Amino acid sequence: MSRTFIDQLNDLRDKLARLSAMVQHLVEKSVESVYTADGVLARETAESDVRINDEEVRIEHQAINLLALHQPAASDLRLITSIIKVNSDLERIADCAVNVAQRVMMLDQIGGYEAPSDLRLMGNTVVTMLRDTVKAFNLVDEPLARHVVRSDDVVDALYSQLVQDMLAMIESDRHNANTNLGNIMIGKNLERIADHCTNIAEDVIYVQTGHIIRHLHAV
Amino acid sequence: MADSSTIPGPAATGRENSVAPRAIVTPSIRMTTPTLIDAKSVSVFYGEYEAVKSVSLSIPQNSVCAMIGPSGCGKSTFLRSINRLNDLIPGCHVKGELLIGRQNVYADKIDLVTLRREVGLVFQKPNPFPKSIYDNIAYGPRLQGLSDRTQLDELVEDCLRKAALWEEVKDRLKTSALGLSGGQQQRLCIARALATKPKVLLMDEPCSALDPIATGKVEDLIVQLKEQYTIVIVTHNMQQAARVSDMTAFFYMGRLIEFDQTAAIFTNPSNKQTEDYITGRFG
Repeated sequence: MSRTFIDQLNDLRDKLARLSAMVQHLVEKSVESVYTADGVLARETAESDVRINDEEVRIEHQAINLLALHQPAASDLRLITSIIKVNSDLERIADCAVNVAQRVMMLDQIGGYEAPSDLRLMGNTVVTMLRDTVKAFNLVDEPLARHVVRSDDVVDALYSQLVQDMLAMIESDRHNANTNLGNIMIGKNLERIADHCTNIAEDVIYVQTGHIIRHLHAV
Repeated sequence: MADSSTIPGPAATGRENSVAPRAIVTPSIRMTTPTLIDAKSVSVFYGEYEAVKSVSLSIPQNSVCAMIGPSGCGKSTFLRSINRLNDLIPGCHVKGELLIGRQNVYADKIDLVTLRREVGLVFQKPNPFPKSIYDNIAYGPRLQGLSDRTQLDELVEDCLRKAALWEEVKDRLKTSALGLSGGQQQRLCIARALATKPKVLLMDEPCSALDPIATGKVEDLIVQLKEQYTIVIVTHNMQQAARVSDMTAFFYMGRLIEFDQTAAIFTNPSNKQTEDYITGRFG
């Protein structure tokens, strides 16, 4: 393959690494806005999504051009098709982070919001999971990717617990139903972020091994 | 006319799926597809020089097998050893067994005329005879003793139809084949190879002298022809190998490095050298 192709592929990887850093920053800010009930930070977070959307489109264009113009094969083909998928997952993660931030803005208007411990634990776990995911993709670190896939079960269990706790609180205290429903919605978006991290980790395993492990439950 | 049973049919006896190194068969090849061409430790020497080194591979019947690799890797030499065309080169000799069906083509009793009738070869550059389109197709069968005009007419039409050329030439069968375009000439050469009713078609870079449209037609033809023939194609165009073949063999410095389903070779090759060649990071 030509030097041009290798340079363009490296440039594409750099662009995706930059996008993942932006998304990581966005998620961390949105989770922080939950912890601090900071409506101003939440608004800033929600508004910074536009740059991510633009970058996602640019990356997709560049990846499609590489496929069309160079017809890559083997590991190059696996990498580029995975970049297209990871790019989409990162954009969806950013959307989920925006949903979280918008929910914080609503809770901030109600006033007196404090994130429950279940939700804080979920937030910490998801932030760590995303950090590991980005690292696994940038370094094509298969063991770390497998660790990320396993972490999804932890997040699912935490979300399940959160929903049970919030439903119990809604039943016992209907005055704060909006706040508790808000916690469930935030939890749902964090759980979706973990799902997208899992998708990306599965792509890392595909890039490295050529094996598609989705839906196999054998990590 | 020579006895066409010299080269028996495929050996459908427990050799199914004997595709090294992975026992995977492409979806387009049924799991029961028997092996037609079976090379066992085949080495080809030009004098002292070993151009092909102990190659073993099994090509299923009714499949397309692409051979890829850098220039001088031995792929064309191996291809030409299948119909013993290398015999014409002084000092060239072959070790090992090369079976078509159950018959070793290097056995002493083999009839080379029959072998080459049953293993057709299409070259890189179209090479029609300086005769009419009709006579190009009828040439081989006439040599074999077929003289009945009706039978010859039917055979010529059948071969030209199989080569997807009939509609383009049916009104000018008696005109010179040299007046055809390059792509038409190559399809005529394929039709000519079909006229002797071969089991195997060997193609040595059959599209390298053709434009993209003619290449597309020949590639479509290759895919159609595998219904009735087993095709082995040498190509430098890896996208062509990916498009038309079921199995791909990667040769390097006379050795068979990897032989697997084409989809596996182009998405997840097992061998680092194959990976480097496929992705253009060789050397």
